[in-house]
Amino acid sequence: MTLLSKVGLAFVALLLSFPAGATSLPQPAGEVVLTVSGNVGVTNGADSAEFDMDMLAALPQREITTYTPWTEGEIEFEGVTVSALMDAVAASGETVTAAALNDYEVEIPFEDLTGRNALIAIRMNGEPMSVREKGPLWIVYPVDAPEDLSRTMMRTMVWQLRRIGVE
Amino acid sequence: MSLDPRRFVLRYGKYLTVALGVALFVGTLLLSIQMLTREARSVRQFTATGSWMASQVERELQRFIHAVDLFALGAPTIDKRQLVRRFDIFWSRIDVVMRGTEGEALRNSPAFLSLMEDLLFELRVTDPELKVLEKGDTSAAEPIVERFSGFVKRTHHQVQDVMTTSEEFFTRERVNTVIAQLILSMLGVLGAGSLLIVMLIRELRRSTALVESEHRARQSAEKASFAKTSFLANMSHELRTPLNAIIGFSEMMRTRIYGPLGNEKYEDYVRDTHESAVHLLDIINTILEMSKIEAGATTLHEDPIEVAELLRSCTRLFEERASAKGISVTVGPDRDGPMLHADPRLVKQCLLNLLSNAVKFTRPGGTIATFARIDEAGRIRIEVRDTGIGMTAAELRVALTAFGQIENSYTRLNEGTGLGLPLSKELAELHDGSLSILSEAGRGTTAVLLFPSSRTIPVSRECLIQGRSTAA
Repeated sequence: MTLLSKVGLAFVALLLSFPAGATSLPQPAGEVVLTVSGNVGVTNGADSAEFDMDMLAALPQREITTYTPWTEGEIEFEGVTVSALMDAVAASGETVTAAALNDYEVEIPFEDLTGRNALIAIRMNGEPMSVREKGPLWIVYPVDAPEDLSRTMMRTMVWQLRRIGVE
Repeated sequence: MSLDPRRFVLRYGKYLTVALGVALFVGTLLLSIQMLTREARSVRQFTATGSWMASQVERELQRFIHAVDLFALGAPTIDKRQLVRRFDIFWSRIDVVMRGTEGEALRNSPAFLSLMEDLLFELRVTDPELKVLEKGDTSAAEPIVERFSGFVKRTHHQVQDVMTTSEEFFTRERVNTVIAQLILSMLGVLGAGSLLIVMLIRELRRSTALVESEHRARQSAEKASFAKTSFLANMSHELRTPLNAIIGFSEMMRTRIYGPLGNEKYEDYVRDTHESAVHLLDIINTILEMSKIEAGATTLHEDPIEVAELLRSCTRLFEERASAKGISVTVGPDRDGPMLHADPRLVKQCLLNLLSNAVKFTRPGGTIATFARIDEAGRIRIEVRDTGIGMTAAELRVALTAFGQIENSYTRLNEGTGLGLPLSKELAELHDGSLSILSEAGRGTTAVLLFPSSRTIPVSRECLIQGRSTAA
C-alpha cells in the first residue's frame, strides 16, 4: 500500500467516523483497562479514548484458537481485533505503541497488526484473564502452529496491555 | 578446427569436473558457515530471551518489596489496588517462566527452577496476607518484606548466572541440533573435499599411465625404426658389394680390357647388364637415403653454400646428357648469388634429382633454366624450370608420392626410381624448407625449392664489393 493510498484511506476513515465522533464514546463505568491515544478521531477523555472491560466486550468480538510461547498447548482467545478497535476510535497512523502494566513498551507497524489479524484478547479459554495470568488484555495473533510465531511477532504479543498510542 | 562436442568433453571434461568439485566444496563451506551463523544468532536471541525473562523476575521482585515498604509507611503515592497490581505483575513474571516454550531454558536450570518454585510458594503464602494488609500497618508488612528480601540476593545471583553461563540453559535438543548441523556441514565439506582429492589422484594416475604408455609406444616405435634402418643399411651394404662387382666387371667387358667378347650379342648384353646395375645402385642409394630420413637418422652437417655455384656444379654433371639431346641449360645469377646455410651434400642431392628429372623429361631442343635468388620475405628460392612434357594435377600428386612414377610412353623411355621427387621434398623439409612443383601438361614443369629466411646468410655490402673485385 503506498503512502498516498494510506493517507487516502485514513482520510476516508476519518470522514466515515465523523458522525460517530459527534456521538463520542460513553464514559467508562468500571475500571479503565485500556487507553487509546494519539491520532484518534473518537475520544471520551483528554485526547484519548478510554475503555473498561464492558466497553471492550461491547465492540465486535472475535474468537480465535492459537498458540503462545508462554502458555501450554492450544488456547482459545476471545476479544476485539485491533482493526475493529482502531475503527471504533477512528484511529489513523502508521505506528502503534503498545505499553503494558509493567511498563513494557513496543512499537509495532500498524500494518503488521492488522495484516496479521492481531486480536486484543479479553478472555482466555472463556475466562477473563487476571493480571497474574498476563491479563486483563493480551495482544495475540492467530497461528496454526507455535512455529509460525516469529521473533518479531513474539516481541509484539504484549500481555497486560494497558495503553495504545497511534502515531 | 571444428568443435566436436565429444572431443570437447574429453578434453575439458576433467577441468569441468575439478571446477565443479571446487564449486561444490566452496558451496558446502559457505552453506555450513551460513547455517552456523544463523544458529549462533538464534542462540544469542534465545539467551537474550532467557536473560530478559530472568532479569524481569528480579526487577518485579524489587518493585514489589519497594511497593510493600511504601504501603507500610503509608505513602500517598500508593494504594491497596496498586500494591495488589505489583504483586500480580510479579506473580505473572514467574508464571511466564513456569509455562510455555519460552521459559523452558530457564526451567532446565535446576537452581533457577527451584528459585521459581520457592518464590511461587511464598507468593501463595503472601496472597491472603496481602488481602488483609492495612495501609500503614508496618508490623503486618514486616514479615512480607523480610520474606521476599531474603530472595533478593539469591535471585540476583541466579540472574547473573543466567547471563554469564547462558550455555547451561540450552535445551538438550537445541544443542543436539547444533551438533547435528555441525556434523552435517563437516561431512559435506569432507565429502566434497575427498571427492576433489579422489578426482585429482585419478587424474594424476591417468596422466602418469598415459605418459608411460606413450613412452612405451615411442620406445617400441624407435626400436622398430632402428631395426628397419639397420636392416636397410645392412641390406644396401650387402647389395652394393655384389653390385659394385657387377658394375666393375661389366664396365671392364664393355671397354674390352682383355680383348673382344667374340659375339656382338654379348656386347649388347654387357651394356644392358651395366646400365641395369647402375640403375639398381641408384635405387638402392635413394631408398637408403629415404629410410634414413624417415627414421629421423639423418643429421644435417650444415655449411654455407653459394647456391648459384652449387647449381653450376650440378648442371655440369648433366652437360653431356643435355647436349646429347640438344637441350640448353642456363644457371643464374652469374655473380652475387645468395648464400644458404644448409647441408651441402643433401641440397646437392636434391638439386641433382630435380635436374635429372628436368633433363629426363625435356624433349630434344628444349631449355632448362635454373635460378637462385632471395625473395621478398628473405627466403632463398631455387627454381629449376624446364620446357618438358609437364604433368597434370593428378599426375603431380602421384609424382610426389614414393615409387609413384607417372606411367606414359615418354617416361617408359626414361626409367627412374620414382623416388626422386619425394626424396627431394623430404630433403627440403629436413631443412624446414619446402618443395613445390608447378606443372602444366605439355608445357613444362617448374620445381621451386624454398628455404626459410633463417637459413639465408646475409651478405654485407663489403663482402659484395669484395666479391665483385675478386670476380673482376
